[in-house]
Amino acid sequence: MGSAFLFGIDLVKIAEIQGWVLRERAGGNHPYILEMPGKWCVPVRYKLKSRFEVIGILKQLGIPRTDWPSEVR
Amino acid sequence: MKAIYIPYSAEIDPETRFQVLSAMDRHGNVLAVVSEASLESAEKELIELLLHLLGAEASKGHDRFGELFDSPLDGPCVTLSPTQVIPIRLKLARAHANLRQADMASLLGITQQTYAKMERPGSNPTLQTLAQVERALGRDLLCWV
Repeated sequence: MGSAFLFGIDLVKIAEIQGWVLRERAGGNHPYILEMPGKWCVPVRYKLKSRFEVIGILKQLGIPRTDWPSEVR
Repeated sequence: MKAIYIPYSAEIDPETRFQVLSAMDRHGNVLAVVSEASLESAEKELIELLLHLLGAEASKGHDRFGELFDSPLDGPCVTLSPTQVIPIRLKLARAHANLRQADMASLLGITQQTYAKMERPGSNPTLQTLAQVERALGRDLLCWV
């Protein structure tokens, strides 16, 4: 599986503050699935393997840059 | 057989040299993002992530297939095979019919566990089974195959 740049659950916590709801928990190969009314679901892997991957998902979630984790700011 | 084609943009993370793939729908909306050491493993992970995403949407009755491509593309893309897509189509058809897995199993004369397996990724129901589901739901399902 390789090492993680950031764990998916750390992004999930940030997303939940912004109103996203965790629909499915990660397990095995399953990703976290985040949902918000009026928006499409966003899948987040258990392990995020690069800075660019984290930034891509943060943008997909519409998280303001001020709320991004320190690892990618 | 009908496959689904999902385009992606690729870039390389300068720190890790990992391939970062962002899959998009036909409107350019990002569906999923992954990064892996090689393009091959990133594509494999992207397919897994997309199947989970489409499955999650299907269980809510949301059909995203209309926003994806069903013919080959010129640029880089991942392909979801009919075998990979059918379990999601089944889940979607059941959600649209507002039926639980147990209801579907009852209509088909099988156990709920057997029906549940048909909706799992990697299941490969026979044409005969799909035709039975089609009759049970009164919907055209074999057009996907």
